[in-house]
Amino acid sequence: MRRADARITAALRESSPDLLGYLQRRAGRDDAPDLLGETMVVAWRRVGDLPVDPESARMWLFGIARTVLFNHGRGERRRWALADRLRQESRNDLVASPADDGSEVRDAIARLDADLAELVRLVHWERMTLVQAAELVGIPASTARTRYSRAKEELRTVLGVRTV
Amino acid sequence: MTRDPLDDVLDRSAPELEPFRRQDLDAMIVDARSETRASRHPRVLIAGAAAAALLITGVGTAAATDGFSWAPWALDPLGAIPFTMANGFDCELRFSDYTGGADPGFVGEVNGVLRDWYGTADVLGAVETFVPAARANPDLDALGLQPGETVESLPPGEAEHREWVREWMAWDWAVSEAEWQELARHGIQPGDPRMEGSERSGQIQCFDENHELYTPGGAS
Repeated sequence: MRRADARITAALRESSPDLLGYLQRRAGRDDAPDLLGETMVVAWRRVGDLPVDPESARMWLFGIARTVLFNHGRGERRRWALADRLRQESRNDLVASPADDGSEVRDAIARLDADLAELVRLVHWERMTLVQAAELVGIPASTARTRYSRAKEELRTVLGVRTV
Repeated sequence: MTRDPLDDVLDRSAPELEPFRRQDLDAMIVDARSETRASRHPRVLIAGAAAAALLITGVGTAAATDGFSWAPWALDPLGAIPFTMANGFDCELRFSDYTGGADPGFVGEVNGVLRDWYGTADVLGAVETFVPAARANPDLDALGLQPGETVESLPPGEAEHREWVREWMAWDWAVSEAEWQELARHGIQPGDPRMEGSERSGQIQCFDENHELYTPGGAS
């Protein structure tokens, strides 16, 4: 195995569960396997661009996934045979999701402006730092901080959560 | 940044995720690599001793079994090859028909040639002639160790898993070489535009030295 191949294999092994989660939360369970498959194929095609630093490599993969997701949102659909196993497993394990108390919060996030909502999701669902989230969506960190603060203030008011 | 109660509320709002299996993701990573090879090196690699990807003009996918069953298509494969890996594992590769393609009639002809070949020829013997060169392929020359990483520092079972993947890829490529050698005898050459867009599946199942099913990516 070439060194570059080994590095991207390691990066994908490390990040693919998080990427799958990200894609499931954004595009739903049915489409996420194909989107992950496409993300992996694009990553292999661009293996020469893979950053050396593991954290940068992770963010690089998220950047690819975000582009794949964007194209998906524009109506592009591709079914990847390599995702069949994950899709099959998904059907096999299909069970009703347990009721959770997050739906009200998710609705509140969804009612925010789209750019604010995305920052909140990246920080709290994908566990990114605000700097990483800013990098992913392509805005300055200072802008991200301002938007994130505004988003939290709006959510605090809507949800009635006190500061302390 | 100081955390406050709202942070915990937002953290807990993340939607539940679908369960997944580590070995399925590992298989997808290998498959994605094969997809890239098939599309990036359509003709050049076939000239190398070990280099054909799963197929040349279409798209091939390969998957490890879940350790329990063959995929539905693999119960009636176009071809199957039982073989023994260098580590002693007894394995079998199965391949589906090609589907799709620019010229379905031609794709059907390719399937027919290969089905006859698998049914009548010494396929294992033909494939074995390509395996040493496939194993020597520079793309498969190590266990993918990263700087500072040694075989001893790998998690339990990881070195075995990587060696298994390497051997699987080598046999996969050797099969492809042998198939295209046979197709060439019938005047069918790699890169034929009538095969453009075609695809097929491949699957592998192995038994370890204790005659137990080997689960790819598992902790064995």
